[in-house]
Amino acid sequence: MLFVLYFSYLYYNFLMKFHVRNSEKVRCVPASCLLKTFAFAFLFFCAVPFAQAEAVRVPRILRLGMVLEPPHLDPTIGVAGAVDEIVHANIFEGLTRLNPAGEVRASLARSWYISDDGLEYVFSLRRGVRFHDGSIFDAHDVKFSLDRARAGSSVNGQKDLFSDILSVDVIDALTVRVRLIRANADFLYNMAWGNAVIVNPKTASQNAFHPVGTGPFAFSRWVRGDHVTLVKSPSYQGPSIRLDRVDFRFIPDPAAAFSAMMAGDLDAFPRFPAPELLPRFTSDPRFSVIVGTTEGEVILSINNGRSPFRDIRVRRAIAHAIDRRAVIKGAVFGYGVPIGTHFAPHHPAYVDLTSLSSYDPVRSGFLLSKAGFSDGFETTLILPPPIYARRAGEVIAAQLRAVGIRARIINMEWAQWLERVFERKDFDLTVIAHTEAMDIGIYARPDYYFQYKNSEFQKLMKSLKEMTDPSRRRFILQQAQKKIAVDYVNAYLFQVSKIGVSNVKLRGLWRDSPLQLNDLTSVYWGD
Amino acid sequence: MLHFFWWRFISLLFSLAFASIVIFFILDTLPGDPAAFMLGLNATEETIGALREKLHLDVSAVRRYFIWIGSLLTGDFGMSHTYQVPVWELIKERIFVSFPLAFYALLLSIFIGFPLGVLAAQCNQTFLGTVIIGTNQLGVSVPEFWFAILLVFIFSILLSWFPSGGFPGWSEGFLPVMKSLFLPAVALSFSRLSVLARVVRFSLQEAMSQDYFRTALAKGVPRSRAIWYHALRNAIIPLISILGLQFSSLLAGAIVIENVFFLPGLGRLVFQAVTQRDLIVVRGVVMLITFAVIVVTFLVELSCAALDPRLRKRIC
Amino acid sequence: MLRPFLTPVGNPGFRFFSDLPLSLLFGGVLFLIFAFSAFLSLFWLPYDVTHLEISFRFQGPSLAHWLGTDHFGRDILSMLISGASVSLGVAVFSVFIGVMIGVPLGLTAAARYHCLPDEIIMRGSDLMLAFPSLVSAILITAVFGPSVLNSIIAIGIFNIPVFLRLSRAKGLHLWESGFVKAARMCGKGAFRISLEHILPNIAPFLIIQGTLRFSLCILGEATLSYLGLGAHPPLSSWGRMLSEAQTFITLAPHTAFVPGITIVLCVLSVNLVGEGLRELFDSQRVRPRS
Repeated sequence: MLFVLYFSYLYYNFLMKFHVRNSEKVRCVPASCLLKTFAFAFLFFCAVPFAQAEAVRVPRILRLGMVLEPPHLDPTIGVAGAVDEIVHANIFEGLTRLNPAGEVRASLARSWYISDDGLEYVFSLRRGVRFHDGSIFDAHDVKFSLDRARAGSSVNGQKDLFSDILSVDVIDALTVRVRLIRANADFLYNMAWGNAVIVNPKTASQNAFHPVGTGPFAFSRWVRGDHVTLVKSPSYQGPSIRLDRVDFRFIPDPAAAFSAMMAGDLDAFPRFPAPELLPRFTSDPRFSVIVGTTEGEVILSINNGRSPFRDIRVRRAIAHAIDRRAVIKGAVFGYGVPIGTHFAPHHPAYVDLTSLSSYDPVRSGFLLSKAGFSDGFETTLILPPPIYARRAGEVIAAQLRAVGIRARIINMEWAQWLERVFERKDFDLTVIAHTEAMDIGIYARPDYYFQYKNSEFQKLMKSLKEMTDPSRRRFILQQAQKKIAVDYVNAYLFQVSKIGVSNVKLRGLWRDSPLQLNDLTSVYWGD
Repeated sequence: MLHFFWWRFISLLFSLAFASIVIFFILDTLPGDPAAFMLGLNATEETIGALREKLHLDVSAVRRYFIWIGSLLTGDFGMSHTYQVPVWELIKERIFVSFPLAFYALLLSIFIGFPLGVLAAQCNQTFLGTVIIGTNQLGVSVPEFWFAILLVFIFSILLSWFPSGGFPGWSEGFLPVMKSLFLPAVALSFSRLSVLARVVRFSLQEAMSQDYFRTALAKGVPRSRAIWYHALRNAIIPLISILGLQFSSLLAGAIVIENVFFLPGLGRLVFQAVTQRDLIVVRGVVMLITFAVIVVTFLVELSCAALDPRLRKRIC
Repeated sequence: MLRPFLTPVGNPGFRFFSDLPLSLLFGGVLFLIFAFSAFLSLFWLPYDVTHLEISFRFQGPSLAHWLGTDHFGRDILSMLISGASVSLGVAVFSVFIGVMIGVPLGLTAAARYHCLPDEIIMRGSDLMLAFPSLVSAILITAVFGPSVLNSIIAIGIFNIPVFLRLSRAKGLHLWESGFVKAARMCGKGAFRISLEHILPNIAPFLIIQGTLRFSLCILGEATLSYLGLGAHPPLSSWGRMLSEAQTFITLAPHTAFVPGITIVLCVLSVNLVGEGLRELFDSQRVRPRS
């Protein structure tokens, strides 16, 4: 402050002297003097930021870019995916974990025993694990975490994960028994979710802003609106961690994300938001681009409870009116896989049903006229803020217009979209990505926002839950996929690809994304 | 004077009360459920209900207004719904970004805009003057955000002289902060320095046509000395109040620039809070800014009245 | 009463083109081009902007597409032309709101100087100025949802105190003048004096201020739609074109440069017109009346 004052004084003096000196000779200030004035002002304000030399890179720091800033850092509250992207597997660990291929592996539970009827799970826990605050992890923490998540007052976003639990009992300090109400083949998988991580009873209430877990990284600080910093935890006993510090920086704007990568302000962007810019990265030797899969299905959701969409012919007409290739090209610049049903194509049970809703405007027009809409009809298309949805929406609206369905686009913010579409079900059409893994079960919820009420499908899902035999499960899943495809519940568009951009020297980032997380335990800087 | 003071003070209180009512109830009509926002896509209605209860969203609006005002008066801004930290903490964090940015931008626009305006007034009708006026015209015509995008494109993507955005935090030292604030400050100051130069030019020209200026010239004072010593001093008075108001508008008005450079400032805090329906944050920040502006206006009026008795006229 | 200020009638020394300020001429012509294309877009466009041809995307300027195509293969020139109607329309109506509400209030305040109505009106306008304008505009569009009408309201509301203060300040000045006193002697009421004597005499200032606000409103509309709070697709708008093109700036720079330059030119033309009008009125006033 003093410096600035002093400078202002100098500046003023300079101008004064200068004018007194020159005033007798010329009426107007000559150009050279103008330049001097400017040079002086610029000297201070511009030279200072320029002055700094290129900062020396410390190799064991990783700066990751993320699109959304999480509202808080507690993975057991709500379902904000951004929370999991930071804390899951890095700060918090669950009983089980997933490997990059999406298979269940041991985590805090060293091993487990399942009773023959599938109703009893006995976990034996890893020894010597400590929370970041120094307290020792034991079976009581497991019981506390699971009971807290399934309690009536819990605000866990995925209470369904715990709905089958009958009781959690501590057998000894390192053994826990979980009893289920009914056999659930997904139980171990469910325990790998971010919502099922084990928390410390003492610090659980503060996890939202100061998370304390057992993972390889400990929370350091959160500059809200800019970044979260994690540091290597000294108490972690697992495989050696080769990063000292991780910064998660939040950059909501795709253009800004691009410039941050290009300017070298970031080392990696695991879910890069602007697929159109990938050619820039692939042609640049400083970067490597990893295209993997996600669990996100982008669909054109149709309000099945509202006319004219109650009529399957109308829904089918919409499905045939959409050219998925154009949508994928327009919305995600080709980085997406066409889907014909609500299921991830990389899953072993996937059936390719895209031919059921092939691009066929003629048939679409025919179906519409049979349904009594030979002149088409007016409808609305509500679009949430993500850029893929906005772009896909514009392409779809143009394609629907070609068959006579005049869809008026309404752009909405998230909060508004959630209230109006998701809660009040007051919509006709909307475009949205369902990012949860294996979420075909949402079609069995009759009050879910697209209001598909089909008892046959609900029965299929019920039998799936109780089925533990893998081949039978696969069969049921395929049946379910076919069922929602031939009912044309929604128009299934594409599976989002996970586009990761990273510094070419960075190793060990996950290619695919079986859950929404950034597991950094095996990431390191190569040469 | 005392009568004037009390009258103004009472109207200040009324303004504040009215502002708080407007802010509270406009925000109350915002569509969108904060609880649903926090829980997302797969949430069940049961969970949403539990959270709504936890956030006291089920109480009537009037009661919530009085709860809010009561806690504001004791200096408690409440807890942010989405961040789960006290709103005041958030504001405090952000002010250390917004305030330096606004200050920096203001300094840039003063140090560049002021001489420009003087020059333009001096060199009226010459080539240089025309160039300056033309640049100023351009300055007020360029959309801030576009200018910012161009700056990022040129200086961080093509030349990589500056970071493309973000804020390293004050703990990293003075230089990185200055570096990261430079482009945003330039983007913010471009249109403002043009406005400033324009105001300076006009008020200088006005002053130069006044009698005292001519008297000074007639007394044999050199022209440029007359400009700097006589005209400018009189022209500078209205400038100061303009600058004062600009500063407060810069504090939260930099939303767009903060978005382009993803700076964690007050403006972006409000913008994000609006989209996340974190109403308590929006209310706190908007109320704070409005409060600041109202109080500044009050002080300016008082000091003007102290200086100029004509303004103290009694109310009929 | 308006005539002596607005038209050169009664001023024999005035020749239309040579005496017209250069900036007015230049800005006026430029602005007419924009206004004409906005008008034209209501009936005809070179290409249909709702038709997407994704395989033709990111084409540079060519004979078929003078300004190239965007990321959906739409013709940028057509989008700019149709965006002109949105931008100019929003700007016109938001200035209109400001004038229609601000001027009557300002005249009332001037007529009742230092009385209760003046005090209330001025406090009200101070209060409006105290709200951060962009934040409030964002709130308004968030409450009522983004649309053209709501951006008009959100931008227009902040024109009210501007016109209010201007008409009050200039009106107060006039209330002290001889001809108003004479009118009061004749027994004219405050309402008639405001309407017949004050309003025509502050009209030039209102017009200049109106053009300046007009250019700010164009910028405001661009900013709102840049933030995603403006007109919806398929209506095109300049600000949204920029925000969409922002990620393509290295891929297809013309998609980001062309709309930006268009906004600059449009705003510049309006500013030039305002500047020119000011010069014109000044020169008219200096000249002795015949």
